[in-house]
Amino acid sequence: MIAFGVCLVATCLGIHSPDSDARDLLEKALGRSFGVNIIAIISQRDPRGEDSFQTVSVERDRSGKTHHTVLQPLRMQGVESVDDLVRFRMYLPDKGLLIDQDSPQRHPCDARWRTDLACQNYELRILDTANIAGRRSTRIDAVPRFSEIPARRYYVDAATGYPLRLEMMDTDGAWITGFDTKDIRFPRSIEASRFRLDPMGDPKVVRYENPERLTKALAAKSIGFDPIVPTVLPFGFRVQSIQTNDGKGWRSLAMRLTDGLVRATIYQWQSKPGANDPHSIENSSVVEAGALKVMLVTDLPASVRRKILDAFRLRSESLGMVATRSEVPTIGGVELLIIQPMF
Amino acid sequence: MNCRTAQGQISAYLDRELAPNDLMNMRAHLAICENCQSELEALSSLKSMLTSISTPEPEAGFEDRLMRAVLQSRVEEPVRTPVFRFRAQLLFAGVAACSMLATLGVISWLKGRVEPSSAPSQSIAFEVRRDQIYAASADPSTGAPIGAAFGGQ
Repeated sequence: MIAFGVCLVATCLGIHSPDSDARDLLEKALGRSFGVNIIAIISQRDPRGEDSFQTVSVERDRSGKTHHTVLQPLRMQGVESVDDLVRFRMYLPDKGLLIDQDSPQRHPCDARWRTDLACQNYELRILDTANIAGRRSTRIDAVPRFSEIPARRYYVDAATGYPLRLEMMDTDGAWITGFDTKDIRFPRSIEASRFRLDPMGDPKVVRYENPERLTKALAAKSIGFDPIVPTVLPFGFRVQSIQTNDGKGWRSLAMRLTDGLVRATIYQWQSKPGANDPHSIENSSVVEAGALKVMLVTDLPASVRRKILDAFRLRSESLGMVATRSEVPTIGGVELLIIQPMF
Repeated sequence: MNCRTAQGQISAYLDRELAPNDLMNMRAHLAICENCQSELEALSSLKSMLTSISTPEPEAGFEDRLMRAVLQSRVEEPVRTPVFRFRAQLLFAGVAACSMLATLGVISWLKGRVEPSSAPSQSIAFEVRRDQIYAASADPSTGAPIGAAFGGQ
């Protein structure tokens, strides 16, 4: 009775529980718009490992347009990307290459869906505050419900919800920094020309077809083979979207997975017998599943990657499967088909 | 990791291009395999030798001699009559039209088929990195994904 009374009073006064606050703040951090213009310098862990970091300049306007420029290391200096909400362009000066494709922000923002999923797979807690680059930040601890998934800590700007630092627990139990904000400002305006990419010289422009979100059937029609879609994925992962990758000479399916916080991509493609596995791709594992190669790219430990890939391999070993349209899940109003056994 | 795999990755190891897992596997293998250790040392010294070799400069007057030789090799075009020109143009147009039709036929036939990918692994690596940056670019909670872009490849 007393507890009920306390809850009633808290609800009436608009007081949120710490878990509810963590959820709301996380949803804000996973979103795309922070209501302010942002200019920042961040230090980002090099995906090649070896504890090396890259320095990246970030410009982001209140509508979500972004401009990233790599400042260090020297081998990547001047690599730029601009997302003007319509097109996403990336300029690689050393290769004389400009990659031009649709903005991923044309797809609906799924921050709420991801946060709901994160709440199922993690216990979210606000435990501490920290000062990062002169800003007061709130630390959200995400403790996974599956012991093999590394815990994460998000440091989020208390005033705007902008993520300032990400830490992950490594296999030795130590916290490692994913990225860290070194300097940040919130200017009143950012010159519109900052969101135009002006490459030097005359780079080769490579355009990609729009990576639409597709149903399994449409994806199969587009890439010419039936993709493997397990009914259940381990560690609470869910299929976020299915897209085709129409790279020259490599037609593949890209299946985005997430457990709410961790992002993972499954690539599936038909490969000639004996063809070499792609090498030197950071954080990746590959299995053969029937006539297909299935590759998982994610920053999770190799043992977790193998278990997720096993779900695909086992699914491919099932015979006599057809795509059915029962219980079609949707994301952002787009259907996702699930393969189910014919009998 | 066996010796065959290790020796296929030694060059990438020297250039610090291996992924963390591969790097750990390679180090573990090198710690126990003398053959691969000596292969590593040989390749390492070869790379050092190659970088120490100076670029040879052409002899004095090379450019003049080259240009003279190029100019002397030019052959004057024979004089063509108008009738000859018209026939030649007609023949050229016919051959061009036939080859265009043949090309279109081959393209439409190829588009109908889905061949297993024979893309080299480097090409796949490029596509995957590009796609990873694309996928992460709308998610500021992971920092700046552009950092994964193709450096040192």
